[in-house]
Amino acid sequence: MTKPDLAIGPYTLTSAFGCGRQATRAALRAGRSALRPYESAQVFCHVGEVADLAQLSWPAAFARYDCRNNRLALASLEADGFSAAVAALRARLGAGRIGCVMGTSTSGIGATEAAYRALRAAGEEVLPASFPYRETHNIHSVGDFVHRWLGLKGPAFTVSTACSSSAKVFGAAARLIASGTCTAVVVGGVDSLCATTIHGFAALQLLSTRPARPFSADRDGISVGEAAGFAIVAPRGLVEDATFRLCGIGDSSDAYHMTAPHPHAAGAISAMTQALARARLAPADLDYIHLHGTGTVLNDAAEDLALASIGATAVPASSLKGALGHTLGAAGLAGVVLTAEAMAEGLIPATTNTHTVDPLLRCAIAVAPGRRTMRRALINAFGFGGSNSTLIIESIA
Amino acid sequence: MRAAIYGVGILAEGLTDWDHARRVLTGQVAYAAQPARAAHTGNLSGNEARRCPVPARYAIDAGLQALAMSPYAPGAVASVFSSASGDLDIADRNCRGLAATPPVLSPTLFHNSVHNAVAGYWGIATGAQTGSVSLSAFDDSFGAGLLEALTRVVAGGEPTLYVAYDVRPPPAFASVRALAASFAVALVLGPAGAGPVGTIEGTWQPASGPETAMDDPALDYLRRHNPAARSLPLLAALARGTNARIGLRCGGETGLLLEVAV
Repeated sequence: MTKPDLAIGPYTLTSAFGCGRQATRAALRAGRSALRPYESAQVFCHVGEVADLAQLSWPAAFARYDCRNNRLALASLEADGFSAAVAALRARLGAGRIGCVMGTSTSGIGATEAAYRALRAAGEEVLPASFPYRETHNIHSVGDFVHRWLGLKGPAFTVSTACSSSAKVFGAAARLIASGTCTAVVVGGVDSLCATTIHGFAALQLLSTRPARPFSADRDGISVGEAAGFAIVAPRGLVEDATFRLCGIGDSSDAYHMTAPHPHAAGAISAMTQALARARLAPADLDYIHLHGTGTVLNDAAEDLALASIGATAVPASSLKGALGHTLGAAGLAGVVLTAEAMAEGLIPATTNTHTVDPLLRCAIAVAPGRRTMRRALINAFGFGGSNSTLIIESIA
Repeated sequence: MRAAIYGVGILAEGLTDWDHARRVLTGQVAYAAQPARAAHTGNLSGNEARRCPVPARYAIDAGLQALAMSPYAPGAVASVFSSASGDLDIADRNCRGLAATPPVLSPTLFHNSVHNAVAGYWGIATGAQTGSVSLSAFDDSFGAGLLEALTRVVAGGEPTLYVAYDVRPPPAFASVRALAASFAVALVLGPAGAGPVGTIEGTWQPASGPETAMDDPALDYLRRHNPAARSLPLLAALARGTNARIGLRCGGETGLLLEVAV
């Protein structure tokens, strides 16, 4: 089966940088960090929070879907005219020709956390029948919500592979299109701050008390963030506003450990090698690498080892997780949009908060912003369970 | 989308393995809901096996059965895992701990709470370093995962292990998520070749027709009360060796029509 030449766009991102592309671009230009301190009795860390979600006017018809994760999704869908762009495509192709593949790690589990606090306060043990489990906590809550909100009638499912979730959605979209099942696919990544992730990373001792400093000599953990991003994936030429090609996809498993990366970075090497082979590119053809770059000692060392193993240490590379926090299941989509916006701006973003790169690491880490014309970039997203995904995008000149 | 089925595995309450399930599905033995046998967890070390959550035990057991029937080694197949609700037992324990004063959360329960924990343990148990997707489409998860697996076979030519599972939720979820019995099914799908159990031609449908039901009321109850058991009509056709046309739902109120040839 011949693989269609796929394009990405339009796209949008809402994160701690703000709502939509303009706010994202302005923050990239300014090189600012949007992290703020978070303190509870047990945890002190920094988080990348999206402002004003509680004030968002929530549509009455979707009352049961009301939770922080779906609020974040809606804020993002309505930015940059994204919903309207999907509506226009729907009018052209028919709603049944457009698939909907979302990525999330924790979906709306925050709703269940709150419900359990209420149970405890009331001395109860069982969630009431009125609790909207399906529309909030369930993994597919966000996929179901986005599918309905956009009025799509194509296949809809939600990928959940921890922090690679919304990078893997591009592979699923490419397969739905290549198999003839869909003409176009709306992909997305949505993950919101919740107690499970903040306390969970704290329990694993992977949370820094300072803003995350990826690849720095003194890095000591992540900052957690939240984001929602969406993009249309369709054959090149179908969508006029598409400004990037999706030219490489890699997908692998470490088969090693639930949280620690493979000691020889086997999975990361495999994902990047596959993506380069499918794009028919060598590392030297890349202008920029958007690192997974979480800021933990082991993750960054493994990613560096993988990049050294494939001969990509000369390509300028950076991570924005010190600016936005690690947006977990939204990190793949956020990585694509941040990279696309940086490329459109001709800007290699600095690795926020990182001033002295770990001398043991060999990658060409950007610690200061750089100006460069960029055509092709590689984006990594790796997750718990040894789940790896790499994407390569190319600007359509 | 055409694919050959090279292996089948099953572990469920009342269905011990594929041999036993075949006898139940061909009417030689009546279905009786009873606790599942202990699952095989492949090459997990003692520590890993101890930490391995229940859904992963079911999935690893079913997946190993299916691969053993097939010509493929675990490292030669991509994998797709689908589950409507993932591990609600872990969600229950985590949310209970987070509601306590002070909040407590076990690091192991946290990393086991990810929807792809099953895929992670599968990789550790088998050494498979291939591409993998874990997904949910709520009650339509079996069809949605099968759609993703079929697109891997036809669009990428990748032999693919597909595992669908859902396990009983804990008592706290009794009013919001009722599943009748724990159930895991595995299929090894690949391009046409020698010696398959059967072939399926899957066609996505913009509107889901009625889902194919089971004649046996006990099996149909199981089918309707566990999203992974939506696989039963397909398994019945494979067990009986009869061609069949099977309607499934596959996410977003859409359908997947399967033409099964054996």
